[in-house]
Amino acid sequence: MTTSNRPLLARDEMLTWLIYALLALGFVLGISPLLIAAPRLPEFVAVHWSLAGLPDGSMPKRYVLFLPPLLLGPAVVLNWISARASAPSRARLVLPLAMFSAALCGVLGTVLAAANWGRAHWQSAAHLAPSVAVSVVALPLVFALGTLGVAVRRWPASPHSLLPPGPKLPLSGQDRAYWSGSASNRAMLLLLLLGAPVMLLVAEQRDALWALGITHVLCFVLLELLTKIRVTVGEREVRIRYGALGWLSSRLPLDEILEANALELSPLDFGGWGYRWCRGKRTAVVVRAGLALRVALRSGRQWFITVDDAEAAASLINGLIERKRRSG
Amino acid sequence: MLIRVQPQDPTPLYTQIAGQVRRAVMEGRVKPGERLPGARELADALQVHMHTVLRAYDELRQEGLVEVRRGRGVVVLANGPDRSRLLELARALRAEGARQGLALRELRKLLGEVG
Repeated sequence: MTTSNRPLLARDEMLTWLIYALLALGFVLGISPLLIAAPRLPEFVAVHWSLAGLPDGSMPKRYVLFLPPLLLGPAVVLNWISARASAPSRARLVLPLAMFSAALCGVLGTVLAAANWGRAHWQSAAHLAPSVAVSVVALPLVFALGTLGVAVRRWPASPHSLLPPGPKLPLSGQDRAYWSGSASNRAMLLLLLLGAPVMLLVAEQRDALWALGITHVLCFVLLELLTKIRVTVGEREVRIRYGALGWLSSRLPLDEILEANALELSPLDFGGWGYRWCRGKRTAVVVRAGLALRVALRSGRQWFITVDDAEAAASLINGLIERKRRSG
Repeated sequence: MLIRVQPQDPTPLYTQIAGQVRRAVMEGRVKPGERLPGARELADALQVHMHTVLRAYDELRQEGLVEVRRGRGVVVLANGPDRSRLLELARALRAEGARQGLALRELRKLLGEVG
């Protein structure tokens, strides 16, 4: 059966989408007011205010553009780190921290753009009462605490610790078998493609074309490789081919495999979609929520690969290992 | 999709392969629009001649279960599972009808009478 307990996983997948959307929103709110306001901002932009509310620190305009994204950096890193968290409790903290970072990015970008809009010099930037400074930090904090509630409630206990032994296909000495399957989730790639003209249009007018152009190309390449995979199980190895072209692949030699199972996965189990790697422990290739193949290696590493028809794959892997063991 | 062949079985290899694909489609293990493994790849993996795999794929294509698409390879069609079985039954019906000397027209009448 390739269908699974869809309602629960559909909700998890939607929640993951929401998290990604919020992180993206933080980025957009952080960078776009500054980008849009760029021609109307002074050469030096006020970035710090005294307790009395007067601007007392500035930064060259072209560097201010990178300030909000710098704040988003930690959000992205934290999100990636959450996949490495060995304890669910640690993973639960990481998500709100990432959200805080993204929200801070958004609020800060908006406030800086608004305060400096249309001013001839940074010194004549709008006065900002201390309450503004407080809300710049307080609003993201409230937002993050909200996510903490969600993370604590929704974060599943590690489902991979205890799994019953997987199915095993009985194979005689002369049988020849082969399994192939795939998984895809092209929605994000489509979004990126649709957003490209808009982003590039804005960037071109603000002389930031090269930066956004590079980012876009990088995102496209990453998404292309990680939103479609083809997996095959042969007598020598399990192979994962990334992207539509399949030029990059991961190979798991059968000799190094201990056992395989099929299980249900949610992107939240690993902090999101994509290629998730944890030193010495796990590698996860999460393309979508749902049925996945778990391969346990002799080295102790476990691979989790979201792919359709995973039970048949696990069954063949176990059957091939068993046959090798018998004839060995 | 799992494909297993048993060379020691008297059934021809290409029939075994075609049968495995049919079963996979019927069980829903491969979805419409999904590609079948490339002929060379499958032939290597099963240690059979590429010609054997191509023959199996061709049989499936003639049944209407799969389609060859330029650049994509051999792709499972939407009306796969039921049609395959139906075609199988239709063939058997025609064969039996012919054996009993019934013309197509009479077979159709027979089908109309049933349930």
